[in-house]
Amino acid sequence: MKSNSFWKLSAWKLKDVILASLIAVLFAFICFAVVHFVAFTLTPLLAPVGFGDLAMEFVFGIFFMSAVFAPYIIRKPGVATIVGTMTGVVQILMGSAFAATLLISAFVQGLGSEAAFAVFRYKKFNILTVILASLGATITSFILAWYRGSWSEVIPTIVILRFVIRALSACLFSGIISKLLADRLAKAGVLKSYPIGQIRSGNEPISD
Amino acid sequence: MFNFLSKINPFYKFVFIIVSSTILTFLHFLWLNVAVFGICLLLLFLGAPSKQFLKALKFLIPVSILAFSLFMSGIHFGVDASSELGSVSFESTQNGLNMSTRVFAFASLGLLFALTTDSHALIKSMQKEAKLPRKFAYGMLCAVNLLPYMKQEYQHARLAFLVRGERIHFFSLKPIFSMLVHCFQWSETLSIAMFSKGFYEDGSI
Repeated sequence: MKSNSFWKLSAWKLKDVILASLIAVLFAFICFAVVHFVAFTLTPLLAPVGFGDLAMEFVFGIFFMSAVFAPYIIRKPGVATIVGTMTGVVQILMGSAFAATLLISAFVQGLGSEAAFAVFRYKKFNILTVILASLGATITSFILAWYRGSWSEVIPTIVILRFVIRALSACLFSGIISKLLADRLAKAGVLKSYPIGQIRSGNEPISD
Repeated sequence: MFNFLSKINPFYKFVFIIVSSTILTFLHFLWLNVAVFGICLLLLFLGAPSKQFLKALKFLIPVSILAFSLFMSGIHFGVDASSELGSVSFESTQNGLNMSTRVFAFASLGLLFALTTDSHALIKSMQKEAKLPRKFAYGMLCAVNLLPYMKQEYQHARLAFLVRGERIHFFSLKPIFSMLVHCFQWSETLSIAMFSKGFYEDGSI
């Protein structure tokens, strides 16, 4: 049974907050590296044919990873949104040039991922939930990008192509890879005091 | 030059940047984009040390690449572009310009914030002004301060694998994984350490 306080922010323990922040910092670092790597390699190569901005779509799933990885471990309401937003904040503080866009998109991605976990009322955490969360983040981030990039001025074929590439990338990186990573970490035994580790070891999760 | 930008309350600056970039998301005017970019650069030039301004110019290099690629895709795939691929019309150039200047506008807004704000000051002011719960403020401070240790841990893990004679290249996952294992162990240890030093999740010390 999930108690009433499960849904409140006060149910977060300090160790959850620290782990959430750690995940945000780690993935912010990875996102920062990936954005700049792609912007300097793949984008200029594809730019002359007009496909330059498609390059970013291939790695877009990496930007959703924290918003799927963290709730899969901590399993509390709000984790996806908060960690997603934190990842944006940390990237801004690192001095990412894409900062002002980042924060809102980070928040929106978090919301999209959160929706998928909320549909299952934070009880089911399997490959299906994780993939749905990735797709949720894809959809919300895509709607935002539509307005931001003024994509109504681009022919629909390109927009659909972008969506498909982004969705596939999200399923691969934030869906499959982040689940595998979390499962391996749980197997290594470092997440024993978090819900994912307790369920794995066969104990009932400790309810507060 | 003067240094008035870093003296503004970080939280208010933060809210200003978020609000203005949200408004910009839904407005699509070429001249607005150019104006925002110009104003932000001017503010950075006047209100921040010249070192930060040069840094901003450096950060604009990847942005320019992205903007160029958006410009090209606007030209090639714009809705108004004439049916023949590769022919450049006035409308499609306009599209391309609109899309690429937007990137610059967003980037300059972000840089205006990032280059004049200290992360500790931001978290502290968030706790004061936005009533961020204590455990979130200190938890985030904890993680931000751990960053150099994570880097050190990664280098140690890398070295350990090299000593064992394993081939490690830039994208190897093994050292990253063992770094993650250590980092995640810290999160619990740290929270215990903070409690033992008299930190309470709610209420004052």
